[in-house]
Amino acid sequence: MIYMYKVAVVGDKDSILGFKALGIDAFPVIDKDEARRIVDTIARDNYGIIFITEQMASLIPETIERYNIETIPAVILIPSNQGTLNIGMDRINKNVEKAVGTNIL
Amino acid sequence: MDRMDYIQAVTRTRVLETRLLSRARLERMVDAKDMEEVFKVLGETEYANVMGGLTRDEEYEKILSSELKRVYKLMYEIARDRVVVDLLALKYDYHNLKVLIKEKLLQRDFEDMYISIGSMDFSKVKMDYLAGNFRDMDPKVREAIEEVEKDLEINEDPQRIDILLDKYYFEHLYKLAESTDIPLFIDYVKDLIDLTNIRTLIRVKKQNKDIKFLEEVVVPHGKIGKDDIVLALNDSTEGIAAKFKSFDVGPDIRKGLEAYQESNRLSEFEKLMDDYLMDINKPSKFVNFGPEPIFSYVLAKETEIKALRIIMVSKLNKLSPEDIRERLRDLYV
Repeated sequence: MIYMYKVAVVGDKDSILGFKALGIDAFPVIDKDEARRIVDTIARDNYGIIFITEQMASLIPETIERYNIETIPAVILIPSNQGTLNIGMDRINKNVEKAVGTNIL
Repeated sequence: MDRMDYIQAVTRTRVLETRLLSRARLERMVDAKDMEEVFKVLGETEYANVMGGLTRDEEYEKILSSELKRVYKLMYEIARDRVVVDLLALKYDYHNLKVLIKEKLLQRDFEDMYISIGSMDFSKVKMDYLAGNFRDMDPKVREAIEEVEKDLEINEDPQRIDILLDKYYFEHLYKLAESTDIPLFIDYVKDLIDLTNIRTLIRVKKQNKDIKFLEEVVVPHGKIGKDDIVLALNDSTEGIAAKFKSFDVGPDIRKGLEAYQESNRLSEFEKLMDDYLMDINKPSKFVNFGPEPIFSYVLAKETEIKALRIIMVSKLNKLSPEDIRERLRDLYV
């Protein structure tokens, strides 16, 4: 049987609501406790990819770090409507370096 | 409708009008440095009553919705004929109908999407609908629901739920306005239909849909004939502005379309649309015998709440005061 994973997005309401139109489940959160709880809950609920705004992720670095070593779900950082903090791109660069041995981006 | 029935209602509304937010107060909120300051200004107004128990900035929506609910409840009490308030409350009924039908279709619970304002007792409509009991429903609502369900079986296209219900909404709204025989209400609905149709026309043009689709989504009963709007599909934006310039909404359509051409966005058009509909209500301030001031007051409150929402959302997302001002609607006072 082909297993279908779901996709989620976590962040402040105004940044993420548009994702709903794409069929992605949006979870608006306000503070870090809520963010941590939501990420932990949905990680166990069949979500393959969790997008999270950089602003929110910067508040819960330990939680994000914890999912780095797990295959599923993949936690991906995206900029919010306040612009980017560059941590998302940094992470991608670091992963590319790990995979290829040099930064080819 | 006897105009003399409204002497006391108008007097009460006049008192309420004095509590509407002034432009100066809104400006203070626009220039506030954060949400806390916005709340502080708001606490000096009649909103103070609904601001209790607020723990986080993001809960602003609670203040706005309880205020709106309070206004509708009060105005239903004040108005001698419910239809005066129904004219503005009807949109919430149809919003709830959309939620209800989709809820049943998807077998999911959208409880938090319902708006507890409306011209009818919606929990009863919901119960009747889910039980398949259509007998006690308003015949117009019943017809709308039956039509939507029939269409869903044939086309299986969820977008059609919204299209059909919007159509029935305007039909229902027009019938309500017509039944009052009050020129302001009929004008308001007709102008609202015209402006909505023009906005639809622009959107359909932008999406490159065909004339058949446009014919489906344009609503009748406006001052501008339905066919005139449908046939304008292939006109340029300047052509459309010229074609409708002799209508009441003409000048605003022209301004709105000019802004659209510049920015490729309809937000300015929508602002002008709201401003126009507020503007035709301003003469109500000088009506002392009749239902107009009641209607205009409810509309003024809706506009005020919309303005507050714009300010608060913008503050939370750190938009500059200039950006907020550009989006802010005209007020009644």
